[in-house]
Amino acid sequence: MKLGRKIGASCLLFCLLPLLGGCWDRTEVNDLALIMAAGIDLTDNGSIELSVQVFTPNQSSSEGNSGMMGGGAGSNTIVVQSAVGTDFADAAAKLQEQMPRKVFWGHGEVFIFGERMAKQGILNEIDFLFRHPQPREHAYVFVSKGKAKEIISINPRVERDIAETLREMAVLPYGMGISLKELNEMLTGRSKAAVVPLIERKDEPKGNSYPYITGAAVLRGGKLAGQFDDKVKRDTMLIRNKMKRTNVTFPVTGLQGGDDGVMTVKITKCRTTLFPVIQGKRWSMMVRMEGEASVTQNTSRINVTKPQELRQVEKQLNREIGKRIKESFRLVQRETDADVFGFADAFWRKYPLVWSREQSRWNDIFQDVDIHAASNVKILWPGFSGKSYK
Amino acid sequence: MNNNNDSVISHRLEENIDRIKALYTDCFDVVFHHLQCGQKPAVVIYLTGMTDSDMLNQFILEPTLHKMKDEEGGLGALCECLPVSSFTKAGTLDQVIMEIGNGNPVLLLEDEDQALSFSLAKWEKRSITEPEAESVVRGPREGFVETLIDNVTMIRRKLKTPALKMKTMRIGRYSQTEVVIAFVNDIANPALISEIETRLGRIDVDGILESGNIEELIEDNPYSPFPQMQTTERPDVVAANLLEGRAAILVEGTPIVLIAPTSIFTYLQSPEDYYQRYYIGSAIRWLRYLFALIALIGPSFYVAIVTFHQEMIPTTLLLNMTRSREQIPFPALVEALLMEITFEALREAGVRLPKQIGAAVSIVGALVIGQAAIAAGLVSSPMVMVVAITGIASFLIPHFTLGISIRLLRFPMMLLAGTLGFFGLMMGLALILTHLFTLRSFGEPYTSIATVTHWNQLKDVAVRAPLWKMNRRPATGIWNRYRQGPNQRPGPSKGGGKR
Repeated sequence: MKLGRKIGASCLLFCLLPLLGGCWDRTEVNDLALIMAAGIDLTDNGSIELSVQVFTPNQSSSEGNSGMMGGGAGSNTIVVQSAVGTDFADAAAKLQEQMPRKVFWGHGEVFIFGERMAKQGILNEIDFLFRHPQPREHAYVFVSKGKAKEIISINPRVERDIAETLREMAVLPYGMGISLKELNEMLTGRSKAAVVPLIERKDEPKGNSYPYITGAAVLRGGKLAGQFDDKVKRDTMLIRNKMKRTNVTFPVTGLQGGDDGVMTVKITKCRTTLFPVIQGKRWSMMVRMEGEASVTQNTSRINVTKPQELRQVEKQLNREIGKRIKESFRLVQRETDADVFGFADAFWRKYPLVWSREQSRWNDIFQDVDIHAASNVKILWPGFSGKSYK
Repeated sequence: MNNNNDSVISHRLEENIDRIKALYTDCFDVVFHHLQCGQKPAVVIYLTGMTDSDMLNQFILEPTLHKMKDEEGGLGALCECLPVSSFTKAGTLDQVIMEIGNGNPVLLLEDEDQALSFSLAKWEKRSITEPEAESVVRGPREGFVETLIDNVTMIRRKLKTPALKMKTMRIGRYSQTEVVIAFVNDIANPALISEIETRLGRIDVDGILESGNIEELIEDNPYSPFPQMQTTERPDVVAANLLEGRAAILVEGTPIVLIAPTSIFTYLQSPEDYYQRYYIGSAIRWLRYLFALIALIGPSFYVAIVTFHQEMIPTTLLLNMTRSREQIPFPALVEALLMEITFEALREAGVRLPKQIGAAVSIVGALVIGQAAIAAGLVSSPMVMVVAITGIASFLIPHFTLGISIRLLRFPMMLLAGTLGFFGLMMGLALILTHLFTLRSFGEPYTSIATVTHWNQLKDVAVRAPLWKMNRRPATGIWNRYRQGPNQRPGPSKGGGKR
């Protein structure tokens, strides 16, 4: 029958399918060297040192029980390997030569640039990460104080490995995680500046070392322009409207004096809006922040359950926030001249014509941009306990 | 059956007896009982074991011998004095042979060209039991049996209307199996009935031993891996389908009844969907749809993802999988095939073995597909999980016929996924879908959802709508559109408040 012949023919075609390909480029998971995290450092002679953290499952389970390295989280061991090359791709190729398994970047969650590397500029090395099909664009990028290799070789206790530790830290609301994609957008955007979390290694006794985010690294044109502490990092995130929740500790004075102290509030639903103004030659930016706060600690004698006292506290809180925003902005502006706050986009959006005329001078203009900050945070949840327990 | 002059019953009794005896040579179970009916000689022919001999003695032989003693002994007079409710007159020898074959005793009389056949056939039969393949928690417990007339009765008891028609025909050169086409006259499309009759009429084989033989000889696409007729052993399922305009084919000697036309969604429905609350019915249907998909592509999805698309697995899961695959000597495809084939073998062993040994098989099975296999380093533990879930998924399909088709298709899918990854998987799925969309069952599209002409038809596929919402019959019943009166929604009567 005709149909029978058709089916025979298709069966024959199916038999030929495996020969066409596919089957031969399959890779079993146990033939992969899974790169979890990578650190990029600049060596003394100007070449690139790539250090990677490779996941290697134990060869036999009995070996795992007898206890291996100091960390020994679970039955797996994390191996750090490094290779030196003229650029990232070259180092990666060298790395492959050292490995019995195929290097797989698809699960690399963390990329750390060493301090020297960052000072020289990271744009050239990021090119590899974007061109290669495997690394993910939502991997997180960090800049380390000192060598990236030191961070990579940490064997943390709480999480599975260093990659997981850093990823979890970046995901937290205060973590300021910047993904490759965001970094790319910031560096190629109008302001040509980016802010990346700065990490440091902390060594406690008994071989317990862990990484922590110390502050922010400001990159301008792909080069490290300045390092700032945690406070500046937080304020920068506030201005960029990337902070949804934050804690603010501020001094308070009561209505009738003598009951001064410090209060901490938790602000939720933070929302920051930028209002750019160009008046003649003066470019200025109005930053307005809104939010809702709840009192988390009160060391003063002020009774926050009384509305008139609460209004007073609110006023002081908003004055403090405004002051901080201005201070942090001026610090970054003075020291790095990097527009990490996204002001360029705000100006472009409001004054597209002026922007297109003046954009080549943006670096000069930014140096003189004035900032006005207004905060309108309302304390909605003072709680039921009024005064402190003094 | 030759229908020439030889078949005419002769006036001479001896000649008839000789001819019948010639046909039944070497048949020890055929009894020729000679007797005197009045002044005339007569003979009663029957098959021992298929005839109720008590009834024969009491109501045929005794009246014939005693009451007719003084009479002349004509056939008419005999009929009048027999206290038997059901007897027919057979005019030809062929008919006589058929009646004897059915187990009815036949009485032949001298000087008569007609024979009397009494419906006294009786043989050992299974009593009505709960259907084992389609058990329900809530619903009738009776299932069809091997006796055709009992099955017909069970349907007739559910649908008492005279519109329930039962056309009968005999199929099989030697088996002479009785086949009944049941349908409801006002609802079923006449074209469907004549199509079924034509297809059944074409069959010219030695014997029909089960309805599966008929199914294979009348289906639309004989090369398709998918079943094209619904099978059931539940009278309530047959009745429900008849009310939706489908036709049932009952075969003597088997409790399995065929229903045509059908769609793939029928195989994912259970009668209990309609007996439980509709929320539960709908939810369980979705569960079945999901697991039917898992049964088809579960292992192939796993194989594709592990050998080609490692970046799609969440990192922590991948690390665990890498760790468990570290000891495995085979590629994932081989591992999957190994496990699936073993699973199928175990299942088949469990079905065929006597029940007492079945328990032993399940113990061995738990060892083979379980911790022991992992410990031996033959398979990885994620693979065991996948195989187990796939196994459960294939048992979730309420109709065995579709379940086994899907189980079979799983293997080519695995090969495709293992050689071409997701690309192969998608090609396989596209191929199967294309086939499903072209497939027809007695003219009705197999994937009825693709040919929805009215949203109404989704009410019994996407969900199980409440009964009072399903006013229209499905596509098979467009002949007679509305199956119930409007406003069937229950609730307290309006305006008739008594407070």
